[in-house]
Formats: sequence, C-alpha cells, structure tokens
Amino acid sequence: MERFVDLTLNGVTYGMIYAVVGLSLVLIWRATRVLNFAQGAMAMLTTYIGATLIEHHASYWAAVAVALASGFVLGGLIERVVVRPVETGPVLNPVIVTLGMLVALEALAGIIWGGGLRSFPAYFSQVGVVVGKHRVAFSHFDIYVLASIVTVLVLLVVLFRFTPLGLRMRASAFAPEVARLLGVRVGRMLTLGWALAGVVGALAGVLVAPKLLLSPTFMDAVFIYGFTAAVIGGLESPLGAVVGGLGTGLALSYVGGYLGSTLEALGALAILMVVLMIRPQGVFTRVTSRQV
Amino acid sequence: MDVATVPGVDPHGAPRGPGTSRPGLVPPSWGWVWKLRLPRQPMLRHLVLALGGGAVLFGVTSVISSYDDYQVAQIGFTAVAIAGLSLLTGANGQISLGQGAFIMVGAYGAGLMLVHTTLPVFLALFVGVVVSAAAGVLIGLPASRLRGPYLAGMTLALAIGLPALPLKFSKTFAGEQGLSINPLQPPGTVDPQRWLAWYVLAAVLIALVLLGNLMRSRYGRAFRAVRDDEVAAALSGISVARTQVLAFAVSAGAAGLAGGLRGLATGGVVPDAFSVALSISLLAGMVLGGTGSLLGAWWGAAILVYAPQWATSVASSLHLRPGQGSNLALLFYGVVLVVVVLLVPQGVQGGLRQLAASTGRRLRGDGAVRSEGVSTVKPTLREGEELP
Amino acid sequence: MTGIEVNDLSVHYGPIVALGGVSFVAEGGATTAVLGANGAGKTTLLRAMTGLVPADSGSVRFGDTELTHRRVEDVVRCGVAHVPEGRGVIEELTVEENLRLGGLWRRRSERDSFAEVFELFPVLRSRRNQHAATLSGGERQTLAIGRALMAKPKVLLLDEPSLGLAPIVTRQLMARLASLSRDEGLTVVLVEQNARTALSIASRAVVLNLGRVVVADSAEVIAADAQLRHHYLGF
Repeated sequence: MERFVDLTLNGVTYGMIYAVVGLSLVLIWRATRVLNFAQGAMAMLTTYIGATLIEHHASYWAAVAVALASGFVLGGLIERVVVRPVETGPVLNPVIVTLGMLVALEALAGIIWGGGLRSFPAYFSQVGVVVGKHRVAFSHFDIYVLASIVTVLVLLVVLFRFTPLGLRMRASAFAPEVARLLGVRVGRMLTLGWALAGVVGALAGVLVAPKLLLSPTFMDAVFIYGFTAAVIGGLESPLGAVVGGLGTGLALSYVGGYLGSTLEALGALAILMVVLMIRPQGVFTRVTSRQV
Repeated sequence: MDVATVPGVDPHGAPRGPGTSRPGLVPPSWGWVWKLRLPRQPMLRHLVLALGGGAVLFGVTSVISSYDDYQVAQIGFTAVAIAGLSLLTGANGQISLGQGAFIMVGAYGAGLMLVHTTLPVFLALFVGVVVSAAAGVLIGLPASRLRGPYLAGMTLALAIGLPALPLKFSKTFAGEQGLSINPLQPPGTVDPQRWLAWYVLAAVLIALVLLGNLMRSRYGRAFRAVRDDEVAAALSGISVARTQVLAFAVSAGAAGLAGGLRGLATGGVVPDAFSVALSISLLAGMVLGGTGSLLGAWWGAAILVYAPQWATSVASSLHLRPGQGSNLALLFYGVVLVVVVLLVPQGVQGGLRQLAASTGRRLRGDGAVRSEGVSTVKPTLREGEELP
Repeated sequence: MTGIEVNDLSVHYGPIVALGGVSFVAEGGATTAVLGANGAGKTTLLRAMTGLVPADSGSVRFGDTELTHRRVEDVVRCGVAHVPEGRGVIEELTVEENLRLGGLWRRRSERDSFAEVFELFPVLRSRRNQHAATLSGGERQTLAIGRALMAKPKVLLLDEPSLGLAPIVTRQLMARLASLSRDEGLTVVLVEQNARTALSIASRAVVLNLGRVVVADSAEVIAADAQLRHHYLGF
C-alpha cells in the first residue's frame, strides 16, 4: 500500500512535468502547426546555461531567472530564423528542421560542456516529508515543483483568456489570415508563441534537472513523455496536455515500479498506441470534418 | 476558382510545357548524343541501371582496399534502408521515425536463423525480410489511422521502445551482448571484405530493382495518389488503409534486408546499435540524398557512412578530446540538415537533376531556364517520367 | 473624404491572368459596386487591394498613401477594413472576442466602439457571450461587418456579403450598408454576384470580366444598359 502511495505521488510529480512539456508543444503546435522535436534539447541548453551561472557563484533564483529568459529568447529566435521559412510547405520539412536542431543542440552541449553528468541544485529539500508514521516519496522540492507548474498554468490561462495579447495570439493561431485583416501582426504572435513555449520548456528543465542530473541527453525521455502527453490529449488542447501528462506520469510510474524500469519506454509506446487506436486525433480534440 | 485545378499550371507557379525553341548550339552530327536515353520501359530501365551500376561498382570494389570495400558494403545496406524509408515517407507521405526499429527486427530475424540453424545465408536474409515485413504490417495497421505528427509520434515511440525488448527477453535475444554472427565465407582466395561488398551490393541492387518496379507499378501510383490527396484517391477506388499498410510492409521489408546484411557485415546484432539516433540519421540521409529518390538513397548512405570519419579527422586536426569527434559529426549532421531543408530541399539527387536538366536545356537551346520549384515530399512528375 | 484609386493593377498566377491592368476609382464617401460573373476576378481584386495577394504590377492608393506592397496588417492600419469572402468569423472565439479583436489595433475606447456596433446591430449585443460558431449566416455577416467597423475604418471592402443569405436578410443588410456609407462617410467597395441588389445601393459600378474592366460608370447608367446586364451580370 505504501508503495502504491509512493508510486502515485512520484507519478503525479513527474506527470506534471510531462504535462508542462506537453503544454509547450501544444502552444507551438497551435501557433505554427509544427511539432517541435527540439523542445527538450532547447530546455537542456537553457538548463546548462543556468548551471554554468551557478558554478560561477550566482544564486539559485538568479540562475533560474536567466534560464527562463534564455528560453524565451531561444524560442523566439529559433522560430524567426529557422522555422519561419518552413512553416508553409511540405509537412516533412519542419520535422527535419526540428530534428536537425535536436541533434545539433545536443552535440553542441556535448562539445561545450562535455558528456558527463552534472548536478543541478534543488534549493529545497529533496527528502520525503513525514506524514504520520511514514516517510512519503514527496518532498518540499516536489511541492515547489507542483506549485511552480500550477502557477505557470494559471498565468498562461490568464494570458490567453483575459488579455488583448492573448486574444491576438489565439486569433493568430485559429485564423491567421483573418487576424491579419484585423491588423494583428501575426508573425510577431507566432514568434511570441514559441518564445513562451521556450520559457515553459526551460522551467521544466530546471525542475527536473535536480532529479535526473544534467547531461546533453537528459531531456530526451522527458520530451518523449511530454510528447506522449500532448499527443494523447490531442495537440489542439492545452487541457488535454495536462490531463495526458498526469495520466502518462502515473501510468509510467506504476509500470516502472511494478514491472521494472526497462519497460518504461515500452509502456509509453503501449499507452500511445492504445490511445491513438481509439482516438487517432487525441482524446480532447474536437473532430472537425474536412470540406472536400 | 482554384488555381490548382487549372490544367497546365503547377501550384507552385512554375508553368509546365515545352520552352520556346531556338536553333540548337549542337552541330547536327553529334545530336544523337543528347538524344541518348535509357529505355522507356520501367523494368528494362531499372535492370539496365542496376547492371550498369553493378558493373561499375564491381570494378571499383575490385581495386580499392579491404577497408574501403567494407565501407562500400556499409553504404549498400544503408542505402536499401533509406530507399525503404523513401518509399514510405517520400512516395507515400507517411512520416516514419521508426525505420531503425524495423532494421533491428530484420537483424534479429536473420541473425537468429544464422546462429541457430544451418540455413544458407540468403535464406536467412529472406527470413529477416519476411519477419520485418510482418512487423511492418503490424505497425502499419494502427499507423494507417494516424496522420502527420501523431504518426511521427507513434513511430518515434516505436524507435525508442522496441530496442528494449531484446534486453527484456535476453534469453532468446542474448540480451546486451547480442548475437554473434559468423562472417561470410568467400570462395577461393577472394578477400573476405571484397566478397562481403559484392554480396551486399548484389542483394541491394536486386532489392532496389524490385523497389523501383514497385514504385512504377499501379501500387506505386496508389502510394503517390494517397500521399497527394487521400479523399481523391479513395474516390477513385483506392483503399487508403490497405495502401498505407502495404507501404509500411515494403519499407519494413527493405529495412529488414538492411538489418540482416548489417549483421553479416558487423559480425553481430546488439540492441545498442538500433537506437533512435539510427532512425533519425536515416531520415537525415533520405533528405540529404533526395526524398523519394532511389538514387538519392545512395547519396544519403554515402554521406552517413563517410561523415563520421570525416568529422573524426577534423576533430583530431583541431586537437579536440576523443569524444568530441562524434559530437562534431552530430553537430555537422544537425546543421547540414537544417541548412539543406532551408536552402536546397530537394537534396543531392534533386539538385543534380535540376542541374542536368538546366544544363541540357541550355545546350539544346530551349528558351529560358526555369526553376522547377521541387518540394521535398512531392517531386513533380510528368506522366511516364522516371524517378531514378 | 478620400477615395481609393486602383491603377493598372495586375495579378498573375503563372500564365493565368487573374487581374489584367484593372483601373478604377472608388469615390470617397460613396459605395462602388464591383460586379461580374464567377471567376471574373472580383475577389482577387479585393485581396490584391489589401495585400493578401501580391500585385505583379500597378498600384493601389488611398489618398496620398500608397497601399501596394505593404503588409496586410499595415494596410489595415491605414484605415482599410476588409470583410473577406466567407466572412472570416473566428468560430472558436465568442462574439464579443471577435468584435474586440477588430478594434484592438486602435486605441479607441472600447466602450464607445462596442456601443456603436451594438446600436447598429442589436442582435450582436444579445449574443455577445456566445461562441461565434453558434451564429446563423445572417448573424455572422453582421458580426463580420461589426468587427470591421470596430476600428472606425475609412474604407470598407466587402466580398460577397449576400452569399448564402435569404433575400430578406440581404435587403436589410444592404439598407444598413447604404445608411452607413451615407451617415458616416464611409467609402464602400462592394463585390457582389447579386448585381441587382448591389446596383440598388451603389453610386458607381465597375464590371469585370476575365480579370479586365469592361466598364466603369455610374450605377444608374450600368443598371440601365440591358445588353450589358444580360451579357455580364446575368439579369
């Protein structure tokens, strides 16, 4: 029973991280109809930047702030320079471009910082809290992780639903041509969408780095599971990404816990296939018929 | 009024049709040189290409060193894997990030036959092909319901998840150590690597002729029809799902052949060799060589085989640490991929074709040179034109 | 009140001539109808005027301002509003959000803009919190026009507003457009297949055929020319 509780809490924490990665993918997809395979690698890079600052005696919060800011800049820059030319045209092109960026960024990190593992500080205690007589697999750090993610989610909801900027971004995503006819600078909105996704990804990076240890490929699995979350939820739905993330986190935690960690990746594959078999467009996507 | 429905106009804006003619720059007595063409009939054409190419390769491999022969073998089986992917992604429009997984299936299929039975090599390879093709059907069935990013996601998950299986069932698959395969026995005094190269090239050329013929047949037309417009294809009586599954099966079969040959070449089958990186690099090779083109598969394979070497030598001349060489190769891939897609989306083969076409036109004196506006996934073909 | 001047505007899709040297003037404060059969180039003309389609040659001027070769967003910010074919109502947003979007680039008081539009089209007030997807065709048309008016444009380009609307609704709509033009001094360019209705509220008309101008004259003259009407306008 205790094990079940531990696995559940573990699943929730990781699940929220997958949810937030999935959310960043949904943001990008809704804005530009591109699946950013490099999202994890970008987060890895910004986390390394934060880690380098910490090694040079910066405070944790300063380093995190810089990591988030570089996520913003990196996201916007990549959209403007590399992805913009391939947003229209064959769907294979953005796939190749983002895969190319993935490979290049990981290699670059390897060259600059070496392939070895590094630690990233957690700032809060990672020791499980004591509830009653048991020590649960849920620490102050985990509380901090959940709190930051929920905060970010709330901020995003507020931004999109209640601000003029959010309205412009939504319009640019739903109907770019009409939005332009209403004076919206659609190009800037798309870049902003990527920049925001970059911040969200960077947050995921600094939150998960203390647990997984920093290396050029440390975000690969997180990306895959976040991607699973987004796809399961349906790429159009931010809520779907969150639900999908939690579901994936929990399921993987149970699979890893009860069946062994080597099967974790296969577990994700199985979940993905089952969901896509039942709802090929994701669980939360509203089905629209195509006009012939 | 939809521009795309107007006959004679390519939606990218490049007009089709003959250019204006001017008196040629070529004196009449040599005119026949420019008129030399491969036979029109596809089967014949592919055979001629394969035999011609084979003869050239035979000559080349006979004189180069043993190690170079080994690399030619590598290029060979990489090319057939890329060719399969080209059929699936280029001709049929299904983006697959899981070609590496099918290579693994074929490698283990053929490998297990070679280790546990006394089947002749070509039959073991055949088993590998059949097993992979079956896996292709299994994956192709759910995949046929998915499109775009959802399909990419599923195949990516496959590429990551499947290599875990041999580790889990390590008794059958010899776990992390993997299978150990005896090398091919060459006849007489032929150098083993040379024999390997010939064997691989023969198998690959046969496979490519078959693939080429398939692409030209009504199945190939069905692939492209479904890629270009599913609804229209369905309305013309093509079963979309069946076409998609067939494409998966054939491309998986090609990957299976690649896997079996790879096992022979490297003397073993280890799960580590079939990581996601393999699938991504095959996709890269396909794009760099020219998506949808079987000749392009050779270019892509050559790049994939020689790039790491090149990168390592650059790394050592720059005095980087040992691990940096492979990172440099990866950085090179990544940057080149991005640059190629942004600047030269048709890859090497498409670029060469454009160059040849424009040079030919200039020499023959046809009007102004027009760019063909080739896009990566949909090469514009005229009826009867070859996709070599 | 400045008008829009289109000079020798040409748009090609490869060898196809969508617009071949179209020239006309839409007078300030008046309604100009652009008429012609299906495929005559009317929609392309409007799209080229706003910049959705790049012009291969020619120019579009609004008073002293050159509109050609500007980005669409910038053309709109010069005071030109374009209600596209099919209305372009954003279904995922509510009526109010659609309207608000229309006025965002202007720094006008939102309250004033909303008040004016609701007075013009009361049905929008009653549906303000509904998703635009739930609106009927006629309501969507009012939403699209209301949205365009939120930014107090000086020029209004309308592409086939009567499409899919019942005749009685069309009549009401046209009457509103006419009074808008009259009272606010709005320059209206009205593309319509329904030539009869368009001519009833327009002061001038331009007839297109195969991308070229057949005739540009006052609406009365064109309406009176029976042969012209039969040949190009279908009535």
